[in-house]
Amino acid sequence: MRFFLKIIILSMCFVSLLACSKVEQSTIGEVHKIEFKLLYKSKELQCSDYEKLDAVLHDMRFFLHDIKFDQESLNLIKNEWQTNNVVLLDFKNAKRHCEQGALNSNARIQFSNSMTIGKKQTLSFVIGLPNHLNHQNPVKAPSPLNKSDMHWQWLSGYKFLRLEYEKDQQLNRFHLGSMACSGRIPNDVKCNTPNTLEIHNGDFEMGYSVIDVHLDQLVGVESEGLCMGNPNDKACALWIDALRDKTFRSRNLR
Amino acid sequence: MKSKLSLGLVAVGMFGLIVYQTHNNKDYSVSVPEHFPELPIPVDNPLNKAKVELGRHLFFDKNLSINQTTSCATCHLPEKAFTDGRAKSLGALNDRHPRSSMSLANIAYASSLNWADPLTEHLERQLLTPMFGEEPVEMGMAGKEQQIIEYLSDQQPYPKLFKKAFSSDNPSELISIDHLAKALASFQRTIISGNAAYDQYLLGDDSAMSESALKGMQLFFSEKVECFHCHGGFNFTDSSTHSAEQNFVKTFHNNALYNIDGNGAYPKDNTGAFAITQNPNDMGAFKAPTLRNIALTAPYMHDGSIISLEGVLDHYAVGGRTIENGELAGDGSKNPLKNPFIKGFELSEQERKDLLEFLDSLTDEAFTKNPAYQDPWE
Repeated sequence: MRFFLKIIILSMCFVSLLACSKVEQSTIGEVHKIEFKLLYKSKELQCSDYEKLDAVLHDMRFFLHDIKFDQESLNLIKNEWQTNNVVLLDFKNAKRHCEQGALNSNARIQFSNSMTIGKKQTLSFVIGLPNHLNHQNPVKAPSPLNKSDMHWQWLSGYKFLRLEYEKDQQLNRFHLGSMACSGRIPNDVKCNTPNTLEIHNGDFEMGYSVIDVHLDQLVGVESEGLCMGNPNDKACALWIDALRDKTFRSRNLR
Repeated sequence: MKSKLSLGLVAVGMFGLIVYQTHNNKDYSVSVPEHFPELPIPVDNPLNKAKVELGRHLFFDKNLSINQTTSCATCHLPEKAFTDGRAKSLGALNDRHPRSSMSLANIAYASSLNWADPLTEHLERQLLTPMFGEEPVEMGMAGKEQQIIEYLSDQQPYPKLFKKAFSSDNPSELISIDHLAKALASFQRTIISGNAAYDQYLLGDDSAMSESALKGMQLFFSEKVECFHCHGGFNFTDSSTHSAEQNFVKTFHNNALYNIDGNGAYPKDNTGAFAITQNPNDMGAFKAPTLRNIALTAPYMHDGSIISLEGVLDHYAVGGRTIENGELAGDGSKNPLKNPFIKGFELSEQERKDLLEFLDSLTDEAFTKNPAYQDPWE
């Protein structure tokens, strides 16, 4: 047992040494990650916490696009969770994920820009999809834009965010997406209520900072339990404000 | 009398029988009546026989719902001209849809789909709502694409039908939601109704319609009753298009059913095109459905709130319905957004009978019994 502990400690030192000795400028083509952490009442959620929450999270997924660090657009790696300019963050049914050993399905942005590690600047992104992608036929779209439960069929667009949780025996559903749309799909549509939210995270230190998602800010909203995207509805307005202003914060792990 | 009838009607044919034009597509042709425009088929989804056959299997397959209770045909029964007889349709999990099921007769020609949806023009897109939609749940398959594909890969005769229908496509993507949608849309495009007594009359059979129905037709196309403004053309709806048409005309009408706040409001779950555009002028604006087979599709209106055709005539005769009490109370005839053709009219008892007789002459019995539209699993 002690022997194992030693190995673990030694290897941790080794990893941290590697991290400290990392070259300042990474090379082009190297894959970088920006991690997202789900927080509840300022505490990072671990699987073991899950039963203790006063709310049961059924779904928390959202699309981000136009992701920039120090005003430079990040070139996203194409994979199941990302196209070259869109990423789906997926904390859906965290409890079920936990049974499979992880808190989430996808909680990171992966990109390939050459980056200065340790540089402190603003990380910005937009919640939602750009209009030119929003009205495409989802069954022909690449992953993650092909997921039927992130599509808002009746509005011929996507759900930019779907948050569903049970609290005080009430099921709360917050779906956000572009509304008040007219024109012809897929390419000639204008939406008067785009419902895309621009988020700026200052003091983000590349390589050392993470983005916290303060779930309690959304779950804490005293809502009527249902928002289908219309900002004129009271429940929507409260959730949208909380999502834009209070939910995302950068945190430096150093 | 016939010269008057020509108003709004297409040219009368010389033949006693319905002559069909065929739309050839290599190995397949769909017959549409001679007096119908050419069938619009999207360039990226040409018809073929296997695709239509596959679509028919999918259309009637309850395994494509969350609890194996509901297929497309559950709400679109051939014997009711592809409606379900309910005021408001019922989803697989007993969600009550806010609206009534629409007939699929001649749906290929519709310039917009759903009751009040200016964005959805193609069947390939429309069917994603009943399959995957969650508000309300209809078939309840949101997030279950993989499950569908596994089912279709295992269940005969799907694998061979997919192979035949999409032979030119990449074999690794043979069974996909895209192909499912294309096949279902193709089947729906073959649902053609154009052999009612009215059609037979139009094409030269003078005995096909009764005297009363002919008088009713005159009324239907008259400025007195004004039905034809919204329910005109070969498909008795102004929401239709055909392959030669370049500009899609999407029309929606407020038909004076409600006026909840005096400013034209409709019930919250049925605000018409407003729900999508949020344009105040679109409040209560719905598509004029086809009147073909209308005698088979009761109850009527987008929300099934009028149980009979007699009731529909009453509603239009007074220029809009008044609801005296309750949360929906209001004088629809004073709805500021109502279509100006809904101005009311007076009919004698005989004229009412004639008009109803004409509407009956739009029923196409052969259509509802067409073996090409029946359940292949039975």
